[in-house]
Amino acid sequence: MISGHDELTLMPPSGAPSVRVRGVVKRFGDVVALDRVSLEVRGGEIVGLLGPNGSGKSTLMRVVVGLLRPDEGEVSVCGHDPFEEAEVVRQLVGYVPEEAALYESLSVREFLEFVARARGLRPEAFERRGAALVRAFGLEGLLDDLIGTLSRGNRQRVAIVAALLHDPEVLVLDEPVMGLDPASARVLREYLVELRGRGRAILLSTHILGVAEALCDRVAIMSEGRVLAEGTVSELRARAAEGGTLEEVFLRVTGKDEEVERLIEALRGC
Amino acid sequence: MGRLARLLTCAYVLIRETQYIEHRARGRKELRRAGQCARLLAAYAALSAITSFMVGLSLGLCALASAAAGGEAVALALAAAGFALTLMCFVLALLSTFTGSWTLQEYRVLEPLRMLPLSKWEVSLAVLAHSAFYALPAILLPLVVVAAAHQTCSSLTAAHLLLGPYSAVLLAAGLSYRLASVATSYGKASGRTLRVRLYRAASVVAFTSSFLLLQLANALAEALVSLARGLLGVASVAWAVYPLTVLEGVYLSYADPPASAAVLAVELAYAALFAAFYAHSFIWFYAGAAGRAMPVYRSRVPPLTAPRLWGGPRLAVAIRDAKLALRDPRVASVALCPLYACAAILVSIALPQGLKLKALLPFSSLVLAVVTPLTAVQLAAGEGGGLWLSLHLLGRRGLLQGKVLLATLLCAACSAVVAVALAIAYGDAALLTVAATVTLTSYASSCALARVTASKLTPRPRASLRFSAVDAMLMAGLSLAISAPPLIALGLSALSQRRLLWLAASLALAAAEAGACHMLWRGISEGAA
Repeated sequence: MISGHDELTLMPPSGAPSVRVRGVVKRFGDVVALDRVSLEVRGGEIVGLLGPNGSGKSTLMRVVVGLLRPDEGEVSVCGHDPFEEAEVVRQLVGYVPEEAALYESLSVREFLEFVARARGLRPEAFERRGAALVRAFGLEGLLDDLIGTLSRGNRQRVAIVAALLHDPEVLVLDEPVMGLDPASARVLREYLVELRGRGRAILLSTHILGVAEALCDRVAIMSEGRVLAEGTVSELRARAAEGGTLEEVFLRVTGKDEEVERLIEALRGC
Repeated sequence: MGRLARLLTCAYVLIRETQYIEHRARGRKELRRAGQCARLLAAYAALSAITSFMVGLSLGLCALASAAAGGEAVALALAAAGFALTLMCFVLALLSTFTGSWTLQEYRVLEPLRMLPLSKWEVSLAVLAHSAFYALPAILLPLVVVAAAHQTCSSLTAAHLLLGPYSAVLLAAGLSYRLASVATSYGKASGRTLRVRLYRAASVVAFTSSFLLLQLANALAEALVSLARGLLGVASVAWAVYPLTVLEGVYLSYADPPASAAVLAVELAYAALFAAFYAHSFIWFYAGAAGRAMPVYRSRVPPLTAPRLWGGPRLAVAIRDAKLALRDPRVASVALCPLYACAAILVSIALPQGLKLKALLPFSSLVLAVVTPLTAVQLAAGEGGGLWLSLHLLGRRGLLQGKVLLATLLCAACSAVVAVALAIAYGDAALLTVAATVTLTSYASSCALARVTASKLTPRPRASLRFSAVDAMLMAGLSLAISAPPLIALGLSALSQRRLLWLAASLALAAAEAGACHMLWRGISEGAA
């Protein structure tokens, strides 16, 4: 049983990846959402997931945090099975889903206190860390507002603070900057860099290629449930014969370049 | 201790969230502060406790009232009370837990918990506590009845009075889980609109059938007690059928305690069976509520489409309102009341040992004349998001005209059936005038309530109609005050030798009130403002 975050001794063996995904297959009826996906995220590393809508990024993240059981393959987080040892894994992971799952009837303060209590955080640890995060993400003036009355951006900020409250070993962020104002987005980016420096493993998905280019040590490009390319941004550029920006590499790898050109051409005629 | 506190916090959060969702779905005033949410929850809990206390006390006191007679009368009264209590607990638990369970599942209320390091057991227990909160009236009711009747009941009787109703609660809660799972699993993940409609339809069916059952049970209580008496010592297995077991068990606890203990064993077997059903249903429900990971699409049920205004607005609005009464459980709960009452009254008239005319006449008239006018008000409140359209299209008077018409037609239909049944049963054609008296009284009340409702309509900035609890009580009081004079005259007609005179007087009073209230209604402005 995990009684408090300060007593956490569930780290992976040194050198082992914090997140390991091996040959994972996930089907929804006839639809293959993930097709033999393999991926690793080590401590002190930010890995970005890129891909068009419906490529399987969010499904992969839900498999990693144990919200979905894979049909085939293996997943481990710091050496623990996210489904069999869900309680342990959720103590180690901070997860921000694409659609923030919050309790609208609670005020921001009540929700953060509830999350802290559920995570077994000591009151003094919550006071210290919670106050700093609330200040950093500009939630001070909203603490007594009901979450149901907040805008999408503010809800996203609450979800991020809730995911960071327990200083997790692994962060899984699904489109974290979506809906954030530029100031909060900048704070988040800087904070993620700092967490990387402290040895945390971070898996994030984004549609904003600039964010991936600036933040990620490695990038995995997904399409139709498969990882089409993986490596550092410069490796991917080199692998694509013509080089170019990450956007051009992305379009080429996913086979969307010709389609995009055709659409732009059609727009010019309007 | 830490785990227990965490569990209680989770349960509190689940209850608060579902209450908030239901509050929002009802289109009530938006809640902005945490204190408002906490107060909403406390008000719900207090209302549940007070309702349970009042109903339980009245049921217990009814049983006690027969205690003065002593002997078998006490046994029969408590047996009837135990049976009615069992049915009431079933109805209350089914209705309340179905609403809570469905909201929990449909709105993915457990989703945030799945991201926290909580064990499945903790989440399951929190969900159980959530269901228990919703079933609070049904849980409190047997305790209040036993406490009220403790002076006359033995420990064996008390065991029957507790075991029977709590078995019914388990059965109803299990059934509500099944219903909630079926309602939510229907259609695609994004098909919330369809599921909301299905849920509403299921609520109406559950409410109508259970309410009708309760009404019939009350009407049949005397016959059932006779049945219990007949079963004593007879080689029949009818008593082993739940919930007749409760009736028989309570009765035998006075007449034949060893036999009652045997019946208690049968009740225990039922309780075990229902507990197993409950556990199975809960696992099924929990797997659906916490297991599936479908994307959440927030969507609202669109307002009802504008009516086609053929044949003049009055009839069109009345037809549209009749459809609304069937679709919306909040409206249906009031609009269908006269129909249930009518069914119960007809059963009472048909029973060989039914109520006497002096009791039946004022009771049936009162139920129909007081309840039906409230339908007009509930129909206006049930407009919801479509209110702005109706209000600006029809104006205040036009909007309320159709509702008054529907309420009056409903009352006329029910009272005509009741009056004909009374006239045939008691061989007195003069009783046919009761239909006219009750309809006119209902029309008078409807007009008066429409006038009050019109004053509560605010067209700007967004058309809305809001009633506080005090408003609702005042309206019920107003309806009662208007109905009182003609109904007292009707009551006197049943008691007095000069029945015709009093029947005529009641009709004249009702006509005068209808005329006066019609003028009151004419005072409502024709425009929206």
